[in-house]
Amino acid sequence: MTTPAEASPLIAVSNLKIQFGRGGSLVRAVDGVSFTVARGETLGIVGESGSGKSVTARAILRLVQTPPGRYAGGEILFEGEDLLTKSEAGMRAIRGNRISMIFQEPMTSLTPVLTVGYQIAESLRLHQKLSASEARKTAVALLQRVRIADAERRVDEYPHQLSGGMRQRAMIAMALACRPKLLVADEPTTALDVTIQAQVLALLAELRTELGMSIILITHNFGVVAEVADRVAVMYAGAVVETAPTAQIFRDPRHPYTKGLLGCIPRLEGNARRLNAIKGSIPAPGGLPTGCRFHPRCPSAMPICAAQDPPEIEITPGHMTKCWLDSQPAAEVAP
Amino acid sequence: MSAEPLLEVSDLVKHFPIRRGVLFPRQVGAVRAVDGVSFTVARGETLGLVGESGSGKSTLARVLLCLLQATSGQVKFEGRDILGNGVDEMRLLRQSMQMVFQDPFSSLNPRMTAGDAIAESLRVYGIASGAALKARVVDLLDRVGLDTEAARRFPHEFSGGQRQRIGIARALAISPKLVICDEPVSALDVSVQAQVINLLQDLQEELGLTYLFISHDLSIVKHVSDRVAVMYLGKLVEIGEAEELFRAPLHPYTEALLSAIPEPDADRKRDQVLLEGDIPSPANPPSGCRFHTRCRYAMPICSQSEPQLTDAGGDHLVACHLRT
Repeated sequence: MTTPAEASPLIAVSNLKIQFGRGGSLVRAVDGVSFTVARGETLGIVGESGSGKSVTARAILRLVQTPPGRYAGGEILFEGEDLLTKSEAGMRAIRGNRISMIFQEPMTSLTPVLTVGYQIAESLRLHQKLSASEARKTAVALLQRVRIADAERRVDEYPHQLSGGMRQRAMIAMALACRPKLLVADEPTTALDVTIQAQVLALLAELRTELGMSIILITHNFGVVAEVADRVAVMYAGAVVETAPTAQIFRDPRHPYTKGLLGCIPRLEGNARRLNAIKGSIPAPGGLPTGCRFHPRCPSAMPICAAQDPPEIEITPGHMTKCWLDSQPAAEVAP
Repeated sequence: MSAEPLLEVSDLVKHFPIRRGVLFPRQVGAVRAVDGVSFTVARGETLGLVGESGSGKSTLARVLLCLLQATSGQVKFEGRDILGNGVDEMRLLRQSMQMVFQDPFSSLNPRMTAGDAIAESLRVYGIASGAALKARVVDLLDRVGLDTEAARRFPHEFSGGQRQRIGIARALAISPKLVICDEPVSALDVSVQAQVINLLQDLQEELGLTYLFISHDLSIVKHVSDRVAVMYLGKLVEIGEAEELFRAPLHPYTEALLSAIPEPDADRKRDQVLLEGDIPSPANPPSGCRFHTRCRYAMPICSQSEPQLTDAGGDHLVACHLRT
């Protein structure tokens, strides 16, 4: 579960900064994000809208449009190579081949004018130089693998002929066609019903083991994280505020934002009459608060929180948090 | 919870005709969105309605408010049948029945200030005008936790959570008895969801509101509801007291639905009941029990005869051959 990431992480993102606009309308969408993912590991990135999680995901495949976006700093080391300095041709050889992505809304990310089979075969023909008939055969096998019934027929159908769950399966088949080392999944189950979500998550977990790939799973749902992730990074307003092994984050959340988020979710077990809502709302990325980004909404904010950004500290091995509550000597004495 | 129910729905049906042909269109079938649904909602209670997309929950809500015309069946509000109502009668009745919509972005008029949006229904019904109207709007804004100054702003100046608060203030303006909440928090971020749910619960206590709370999120439904009804392909498959239904679901569909929810707790590993396949098309629902094509307990009888909703004790109703 908690593979020592230091050994040789598959991907190491450090101090990544992505900005939009400039001058008075500068938006720091991602502001100094660092994390690593070990081989075979699943990292869950949890955050609300505006936390910068999707921009981070796109940046890994260098899919942030520039302009208006700008890679303002940091590096993304994938198997030792910095993806941010690679040429466009170099990136094309990686996308869909060594790193793949699945998106939230399969209807808008599949081309409506081409058959599902053609779209799956495309990356096989491009990257693995398969012939059209070989690629088609592989596409059928892939559709069978993601448990689409009647794959022989479905392969020649268009996306609108498939149900939401089937489209997401087809997306997965497409993403995994070249057996990538890393799969970036941006809210892969958010548009699906719970029963279909459960099917898709089970399928992803199975394929991860089979292919030995790593997954970065972006989601707003802590339940999904608990189900599939080994480690969790919690993002708020463009920064990672806490990282920990999955079990640890539920047992001992340290950052007030993580605690707040977990307190917001009604549980199936237990009958609290009121939910512990976090006051206020997420700051607009254009107007980030000074100091700790969370301090205007934080129930335990102190004077220092508004003045200075807290440093990242390690509480137990692998459990990092950015909060003055844990950085102060006084806090360590408290049990 | 005794006495006369506020809302009594019996054998409600809503079919959308499927037509073919351009010159002489004829009906070739029907989407059976709501297909014989009966339930009651008592005064002051919250009835949760859950189901996957395509189960007919939103259609049901719209039929109850006569925003869609029912195909057949009966809806009684405070003992009076409302489906036969004319337009004028229905307008009067909507004073007592209001709706909170899912998407606060598309349900507010972008050219109307929040104040005007809230005041609109008060004006239409001639409930208040002038200074009294202003005072009422301020009071409503305050109730839903917004500043007085918000009245002058336009929808695009608010966040999603604030917009949903305006939607709630708007629904409450004319003091309705029943509020139908159709996925009121699905479009909101998790930290804001909790604020809106707390608000809805506070308002219910203060104003004695009755809610029909529609959602696909079972944990939220369990949190807010006194009783829960589960819908599948236009039919109610189970209805019962919330605590009881979640503790011991009787219908295999409810069981599967519950087990599919990912719980935010890494220590709890459970036996998952994975449903095979997708929800079938309501234009061509399976024969017999509509769930039999995905049910792991399906028996020969399930595809032949349709199970009726029957009491399994303690006002817990279920439509399943396993239980009869």
